[in-house]
Amino acid sequence: MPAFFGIGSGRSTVLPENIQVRFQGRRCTGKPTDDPTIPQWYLSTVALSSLTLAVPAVGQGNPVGKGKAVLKDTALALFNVTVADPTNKSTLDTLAMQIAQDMVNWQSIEFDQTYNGIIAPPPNGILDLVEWTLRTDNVQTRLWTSPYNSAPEEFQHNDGPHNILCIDVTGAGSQNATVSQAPCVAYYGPLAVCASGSLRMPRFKVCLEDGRLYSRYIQTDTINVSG
Amino acid sequence: MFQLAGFDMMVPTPEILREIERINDPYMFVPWLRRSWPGFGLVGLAYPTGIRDIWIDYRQLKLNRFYWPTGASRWAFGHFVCGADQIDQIRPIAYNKDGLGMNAVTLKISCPGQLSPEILSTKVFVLACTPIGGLTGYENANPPYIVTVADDRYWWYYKSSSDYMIDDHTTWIGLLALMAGDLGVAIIPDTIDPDYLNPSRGLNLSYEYLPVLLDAFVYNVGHRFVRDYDGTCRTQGFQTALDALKADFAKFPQRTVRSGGSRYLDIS
Repeated sequence: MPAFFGIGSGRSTVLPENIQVRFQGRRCTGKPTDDPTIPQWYLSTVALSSLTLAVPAVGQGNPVGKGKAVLKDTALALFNVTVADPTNKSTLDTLAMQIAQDMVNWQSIEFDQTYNGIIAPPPNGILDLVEWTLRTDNVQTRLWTSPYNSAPEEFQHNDGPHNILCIDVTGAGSQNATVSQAPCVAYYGPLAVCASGSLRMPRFKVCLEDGRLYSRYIQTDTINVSG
Repeated sequence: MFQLAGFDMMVPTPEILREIERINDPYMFVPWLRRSWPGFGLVGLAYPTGIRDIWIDYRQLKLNRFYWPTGASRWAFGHFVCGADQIDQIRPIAYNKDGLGMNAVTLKISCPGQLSPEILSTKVFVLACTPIGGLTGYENANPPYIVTVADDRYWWYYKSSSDYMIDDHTTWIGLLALMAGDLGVAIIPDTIDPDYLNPSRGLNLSYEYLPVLLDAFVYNVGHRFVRDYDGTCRTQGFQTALDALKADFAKFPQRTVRSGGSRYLDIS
């Protein structure tokens, strides 16, 4: 058994003390004018010391790390007006914990080792690259793990069950209109016209598709003006 | 043993390799370059922030080495020196006798004389061969060539994603099945932790390079994409990978280390 299934104190030098995941905020109650009161981001911070090391620490103990690694996730933090924490806080915190756990797990083994002759270890997620050399003066197999600083920083998750419950509204009372077109957002655009005592307003839907924002016409709403 | 398509291949001397590498820039035999940027739609996907030099700088490449990477967006490859007579033997098998069709052929490597009973055997495609000029001391009757081989993943960049219609109800497993369908290859998933929730619509990138999306998929669920030597494709979580690696090394205690070691090894 090779000796690379262990952790030494050197690991502290490549790990952050904290791993923070940034989620974008989204308003789920109130009016559009309430938006400034909604935090733009929700930051979930995971301390390295709170993680379980998949590879047991040996010898000189657990790594402590230094500083903070910030990762970005597309999952939305769903806010109600005047409430500080997102309604899906615990879900996002659990997601952040899982992201941090796996990030640290994959970093827990790193080696660059060359073996005499040809060996054929089955391809494995830990082995970033296997290189066989065939020369008259040298036949060898070299195994590499991923570089310690190669972990992804951008993630594409979605809190689907909670998103469904987050419905944007334009206002309150009789003028309340749902504009959610999840996962898109609806808005009124040009050209509004007054005709026969009513206001006709074109409604559009804007969506993020293929990394681009697309806007499409949905319908025209008619508001009857009385008095 | 070093065989390609059932034929014994030349194992060149260091002098020959040095001479070829000295007078020929590797761009002559590397038929690909890594993209300088991922493309508009692929910006922001989960992807490693750093990868090995040979995927960035082709000048790092050396002859008579075979590389097997993890992941969907990198492929296994090797550039081997051989004689024209070997090329004549391999071509009818690799390209069909009409010279058009492409057949996967077996690459077999072993080294029983060095206490390693293991055999690497896998299917590869033979890419267009590169003639090497400028060498002295070679017989005109059998001039040297470089034969480049690559595994099936080389072709995956010619597969694109479709519209996966991702919404709040889409699951990771469901999305993987759609991607595997586009790829035309079965992918065995490891267990996906439910804490990873659902996939974002940000992954709904139609007509983009499928292998890059597949790698983004596995990074999003804490896995890695693995293609086995027999062509089986799977996603692998860390614990699964760790257990498999330990089991493999326990199975072959006779492996002898020549050099290298662990970055974190506690040697006290």
